[in-house]
Amino acid sequence: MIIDHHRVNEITRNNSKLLKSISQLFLNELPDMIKAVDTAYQQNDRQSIAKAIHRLKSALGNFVNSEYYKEFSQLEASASGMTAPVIHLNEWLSQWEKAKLDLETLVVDLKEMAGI
Amino acid sequence: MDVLIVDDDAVTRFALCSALEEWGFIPVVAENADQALEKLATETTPHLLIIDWSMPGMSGPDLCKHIREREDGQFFYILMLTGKEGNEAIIEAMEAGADDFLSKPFDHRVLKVRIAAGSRIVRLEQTLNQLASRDALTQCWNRRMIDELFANSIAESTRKHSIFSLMVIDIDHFKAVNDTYGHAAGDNALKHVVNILNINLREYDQVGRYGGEEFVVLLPATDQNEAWGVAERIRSAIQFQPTILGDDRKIDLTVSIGIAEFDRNRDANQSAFFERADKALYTAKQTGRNRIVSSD
Repeated sequence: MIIDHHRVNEITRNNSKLLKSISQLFLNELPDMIKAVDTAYQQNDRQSIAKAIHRLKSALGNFVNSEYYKEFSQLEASASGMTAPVIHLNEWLSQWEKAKLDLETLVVDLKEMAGI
Repeated sequence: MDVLIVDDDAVTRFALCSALEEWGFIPVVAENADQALEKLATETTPHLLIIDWSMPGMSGPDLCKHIREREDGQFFYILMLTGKEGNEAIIEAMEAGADDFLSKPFDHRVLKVRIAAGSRIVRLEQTLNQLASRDALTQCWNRRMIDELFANSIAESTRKHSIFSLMVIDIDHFKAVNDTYGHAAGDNALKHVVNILNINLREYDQVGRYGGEEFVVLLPATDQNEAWGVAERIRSAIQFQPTILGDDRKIDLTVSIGIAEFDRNRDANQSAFFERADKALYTAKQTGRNRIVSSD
């Protein structure tokens, strides 16, 4: 389970209306955030990829468990190419594709939790 | 207390807003540094700030530096939020001017106590500022503050070519009040006079205690004739509303008032302008007291 129920309940204080609002806001923002990462990748711009991942990671921090959040930290670091070992962007893409599949799972879980 | 949230992520802004409202704060939001600087330029600017590190345009640390370079002496407590980890990030944030640092994803209970600590410091600073700028007895501005406001008014009037008048008020025979009724009664009389001033002045006028029984009133957007009308209202109110002491005794007071309207061609500086109003006050005293005299 990627979603951190305890954290989401803490943020929304078990308020179902608030849970629905914040989840809907995230679901509305998510496609553009994913698109920003994909666009930056197509432009082969490592710094833009890292920034786009950072923005997505920031929003995810409100919903996901620490392991999945760390995966995004790793994705951000490896995209920037600033930390060793520097991986090729093709290799980075496979990690990103896996993370996107997990995001789809998160969307399903979040919709279910929020009753959307 | 207002709290400014500066974060480009809508979800985090939403989460922070709902948490702050729950904790009794009033959230004010900005999506980037430029919006934040606009909010910080208003008169009702929040003094407790939560700033995200990574934002498009100016970054969080650069925004911190910008805020710390302000010359108006205002204090801002800055809590920096970031997805970065480690001591280097803490050092960079705090060297840029942040007061506190919290890594994302943050524990809301930790954020709550950190915000509470920040708000205590902001309140303490506001109390110190109040003590440093208000007259302890009457609670009107003290001499240092009214001098500062006076200088600002002259600068604004010069910049905008707007009219501006000054009133210097002195309570007549105040030494006799202290000698007759005692210093405690004299203090009550001073508070009574300031109360009458506050009732009879407009919201944007400023009153300061300049000396023992001498007060200065700044009247923005006011010419000499309008200032006379305000002064007469004050003079008559003080004459006909004596200070009532606890033991049914009353103190009848009168005031003398000198007025001057700022004249850029004539008043070379703040002192010269003040001197004209002060001389008018002197004339009011010399010609019988309980009267108003305008500077020529």
